[in-house]
Amino acid sequence: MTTLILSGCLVLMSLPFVLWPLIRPRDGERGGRG
Amino acid sequence: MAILIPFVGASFLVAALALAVLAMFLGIWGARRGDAALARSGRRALYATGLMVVGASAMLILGLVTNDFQLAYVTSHSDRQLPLALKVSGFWGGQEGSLLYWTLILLLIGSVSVGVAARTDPQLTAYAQSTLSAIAVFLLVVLVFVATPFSLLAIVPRNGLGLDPVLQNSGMLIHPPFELAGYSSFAIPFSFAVASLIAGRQGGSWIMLSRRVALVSWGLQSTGLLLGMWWSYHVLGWGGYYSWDPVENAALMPWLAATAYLHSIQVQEHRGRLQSWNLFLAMLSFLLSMLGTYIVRSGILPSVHTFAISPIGPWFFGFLVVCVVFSLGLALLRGHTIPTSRPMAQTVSREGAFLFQNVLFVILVAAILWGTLLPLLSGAVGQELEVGSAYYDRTIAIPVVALLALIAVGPLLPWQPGGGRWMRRLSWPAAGALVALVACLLLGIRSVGLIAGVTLAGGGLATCLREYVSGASRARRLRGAWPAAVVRLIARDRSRYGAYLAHVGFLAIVIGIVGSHFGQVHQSFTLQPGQTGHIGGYSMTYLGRFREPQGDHEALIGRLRLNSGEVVEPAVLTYPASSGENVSQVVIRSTPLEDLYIVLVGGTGARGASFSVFVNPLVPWIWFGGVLLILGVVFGNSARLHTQPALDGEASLRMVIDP
Repeated sequence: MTTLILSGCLVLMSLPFVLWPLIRPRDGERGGRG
Repeated sequence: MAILIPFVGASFLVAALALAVLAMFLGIWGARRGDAALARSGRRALYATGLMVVGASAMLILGLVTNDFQLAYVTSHSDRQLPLALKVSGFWGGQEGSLLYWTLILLLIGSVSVGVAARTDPQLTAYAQSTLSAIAVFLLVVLVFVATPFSLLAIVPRNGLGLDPVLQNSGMLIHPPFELAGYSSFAIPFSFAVASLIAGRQGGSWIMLSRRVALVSWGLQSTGLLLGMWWSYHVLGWGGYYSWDPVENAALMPWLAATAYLHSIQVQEHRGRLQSWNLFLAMLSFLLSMLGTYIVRSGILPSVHTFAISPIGPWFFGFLVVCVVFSLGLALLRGHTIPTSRPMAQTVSREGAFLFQNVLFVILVAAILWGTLLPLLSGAVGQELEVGSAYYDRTIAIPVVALLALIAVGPLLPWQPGGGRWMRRLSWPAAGALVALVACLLLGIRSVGLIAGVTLAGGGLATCLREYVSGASRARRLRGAWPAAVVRLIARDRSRYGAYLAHVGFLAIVIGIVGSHFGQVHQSFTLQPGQTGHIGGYSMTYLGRFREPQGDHEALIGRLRLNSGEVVEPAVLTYPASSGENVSQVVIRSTPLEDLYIVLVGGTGARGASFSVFVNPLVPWIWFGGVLLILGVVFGNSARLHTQPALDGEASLRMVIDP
């Protein structure tokens, strides 16, 4: 259980880095995917 | 802190598995949709997977260094008395740890390759990244569910079982990491080959993108093999360096296939031919490394490398079957995307030489594969059969002779047909071979195998020398004096001259191998104090034997005085904690032309001792050649690669344009 919770935290911590190319604001946009 | 190591380590692995799955899907989704942002996200997921595996590896090393014996892995592969460096080497010393190390290297080298390649061809890279992630998913599933390095013991022992005495050697620090890194990193060219088939984009893009990593992988495999030979020679005390052991063969076969691959891709780069063949070789190299892993892990074949057996063999067998079926299926379904090659312009050409060389390498792989798997295959249908070194000597002799002749002649042949000027260039290898032949005869060598090997290698060395000399004279005509011209030439065309340096190294290794294979002299002596044994030009007088406790083992030391006046002390070390396992401590005295190799077999009677003594001609050439070969690879790899964005295919174009 401890392992699962810890690994869940690690994945959640990585997600902003992983998903940043999909969620970053593009030129002429306020947000969302380009 | 220590209590946390197993949990944090296991959590890193589970998180890595989740991220690898994510990377696999994001990569393939991005590639199919031609969406650069998705593909970039997939790459980042791969980097994050790598980071998690770095974390897991750090935890395991921390566990080993801090003697965390609640971890079953640490208890099995370390103890409190081990020196720090050997404790760290426990990381790759056992099954689970070496698998983690394999995954680590795959992800680190894979991440760098994918990151660099994405700048040139994002779509192909996204498919390759997805394939790479799928391989990582398999390895992480095994690490999380089957062979985890972080499993806990119910009762924590006060000390560990220690590292196998044979592994307690400096070779342990370097041989396995190089060998495993070479194995694992060839998954990257495989991934790019798969990507090119899935994308239906042949051309040379996938080769260009994976060329450097293929060279790095080949360099790592070569280093691993050479270090393995060095270790075997210096530690195992049997007078040789390669015994056709199944696990040694398992390491040699992918190396042979990768060597063929590195040469045949030049045909595609120069002539646009052999496209299907190159795909086949990239896949074969990877599949052979998986087969090798299966042989090492499963213990299905009797081998000296028995310290790494565990029940994960069936998993690797399953994965191997999946990879073979996947590769074959992909070739059948997507083979039509490979354009038909033009017919070869001329058989006697550089292209023809590469093709012939490739055929020879594949024959070698087939012969070694047959010899390695025969016990398994024959055992399955009835009586188990085994082949010995005589089988290998017979089957590989002709292909090896032909390969040596090709090294001497091939580089001098023209790519384009026309003219007979190349015939004149053959005077170089002919002269080199003649000099080597005369030298052999003057030295009184009568072994046909040794004379043939050295003569052909002499021809090859002369060809390499000719390439340097003709290049330097061209550079000198343009500008400057000789030394500056040579330096400028070599610096300008590093990949070419690095490759020739690797050829020189390889030929030196060949000279060492044929010298020791055909010229080895062996004699066993049982001596009483004061008696003298004679072998070759050496004599050794036995002075006596004594026992000496040395930490966790006891040494039986035999003392000999050589005719040079030097006193040497070969020994046998006995480890009581490892069921009385014995390890030889051999004495080797090297000159450029031969090694005197002395092994203490044991004590005889009250004061006598038995020795096994070898005179191994030219063995130092193997290590010297190995250094040159590695330098050649490093030097060749230091050249800049000329890449340009791939603009074939709509999706690929969209991804290149999308910032």
